[in-house]
Amino acid sequence: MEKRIAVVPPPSAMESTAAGSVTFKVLNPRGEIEHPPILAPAPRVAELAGKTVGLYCNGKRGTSVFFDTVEELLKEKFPTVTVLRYTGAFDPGDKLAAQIAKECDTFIDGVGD
Amino acid sequence: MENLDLPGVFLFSPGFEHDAKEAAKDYGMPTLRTLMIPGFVWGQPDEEKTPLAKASFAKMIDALTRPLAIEETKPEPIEKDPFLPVEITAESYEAALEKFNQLFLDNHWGDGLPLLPPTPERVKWMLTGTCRAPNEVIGKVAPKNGIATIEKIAINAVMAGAKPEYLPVIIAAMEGLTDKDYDLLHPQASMGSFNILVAVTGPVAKELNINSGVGYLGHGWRTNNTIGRAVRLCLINSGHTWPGINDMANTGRQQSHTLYTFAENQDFSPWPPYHVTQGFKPEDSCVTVSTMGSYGGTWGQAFSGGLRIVAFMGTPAEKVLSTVIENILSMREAMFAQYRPEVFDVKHIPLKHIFLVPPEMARNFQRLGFASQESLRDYIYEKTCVPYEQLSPEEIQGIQEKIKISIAGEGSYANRLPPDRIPVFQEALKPGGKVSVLITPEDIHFMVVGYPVGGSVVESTYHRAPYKWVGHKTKLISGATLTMAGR
Repeated sequence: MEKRIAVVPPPSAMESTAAGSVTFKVLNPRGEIEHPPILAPAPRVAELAGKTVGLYCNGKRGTSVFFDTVEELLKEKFPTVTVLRYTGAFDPGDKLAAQIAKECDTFIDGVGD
Repeated sequence: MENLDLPGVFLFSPGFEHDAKEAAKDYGMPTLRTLMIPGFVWGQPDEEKTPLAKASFAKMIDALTRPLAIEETKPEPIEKDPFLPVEITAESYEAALEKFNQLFLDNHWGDGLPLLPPTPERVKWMLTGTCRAPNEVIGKVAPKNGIATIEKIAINAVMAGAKPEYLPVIIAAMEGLTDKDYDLLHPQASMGSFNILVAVTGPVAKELNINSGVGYLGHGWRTNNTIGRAVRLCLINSGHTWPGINDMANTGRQQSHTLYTFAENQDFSPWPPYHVTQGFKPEDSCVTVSTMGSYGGTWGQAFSGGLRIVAFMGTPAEKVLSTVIENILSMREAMFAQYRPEVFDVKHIPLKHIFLVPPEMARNFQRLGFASQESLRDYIYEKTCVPYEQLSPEEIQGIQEKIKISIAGEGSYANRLPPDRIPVFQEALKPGGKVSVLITPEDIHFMVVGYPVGGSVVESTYHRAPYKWVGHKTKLISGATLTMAGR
């Protein structure tokens, strides 16, 4: 096929710094990251008795059976615990997260993709 | 939820140890409590899940109730990497090149193939391909939201072996992938091994000699191969991804190094350039990026991966058309299945379809009366709408559910109808109405490419993106200095 563009070849970047030695500098290809503020996790609950535990998953296959068992065990081991189930996207988003934070004392999250 | 003062624990499967740690750091909470559930594998029988939950239950309770240790309450700040240049010294040119390549690969800055050193001189040379400022920010790349600037793109383009005149094409592709609406997280990180299509349309394609004919997805074209490779390297290095760390693509993707990069064969196409269907002028030069399924065709029609053959060469256009319509209709459960969050199934997510049509087949479609891609697209959309009376009660309920969650804004984007399509489905879901199996006619795409006198029609399907609205974007090429087009 026809070549349409004549391009000047790149300049040489290699330097012979000493007899038998070659040095060149290369630029870093990585994109800079603006790290979010570092936060500590929330303080734990002292015990589960009387607390409301949220179970959050994104509904991929197998998670419902898994969390059914977790719910049964919670109710069996901690009879005064209330369990609330939530299903949503991988990231629950601000609205659902605020709802869960309002309704629960602690939570277990298991999402998959 | 943790930053709303709600204590919790995040569970993950074996193999995701690095991913969980990296995700916690990405959200600014490096000491987040996470717990691996040994033996948990997606798709294993339900009866195996119960013992796994029982075995890990005590650890879950411990994670919720054991007071935070001092080091958990005072996580160390993440040191900002200055991304300084690196000096390579060795006893010979060959040794220096080898040392450079090993260093970059060890740091996860490469793609496994030999790289060209991005020396300041060579990057400067690459930047002669654009008049745009090196420090111009193009966008952020998932999952770590690294910033892609013109200069960073140029560095990766050098490493890929691209030439300066290709740079505006690579930049436009990155503009598409980092668009605020584009769901880049999914193809960057999902186990599903999704990949990216990069289609160049308009006069710049011919000017750069991007292959649109025999072997358009294969080896032998510096343009196709290094443009795609440069985009891949930008995704690795701006997204800070690495297989098994935070890129969990299980099969690792077909066409991983070069992506699916090609140009539309405008010389032999009877239709306007593809980008005209996306609202651009015929004389424009554009890049279209699109997320592709990558399962290799073994998971049923709905998720045939990479590209699959719809019709072999020589198939009459009428037959191709009826096959396309039948195929799309056969996936009606993608739109009509009931959305039940507790039984999430990816096959219940509406699809988009990209058809790569050889020029001869496009001419045959034209002979059938389809003067443009839009007319063909709209015809197929019309023929894949199902009369209300032919819907089962369960399907009607399924669509009603989809409308309901869409109005509420619940569930992932993949399961929702975009706001502008909700009234269309509400109107269609009544006696005398016809309900589409696709969200919009714009989920059908035709691009003309391949051998001018024959070839097969191939197709890529991808379900709607789960984390943002779209997985398809066309961008205008701009700022070119070495080509007549794309200036």
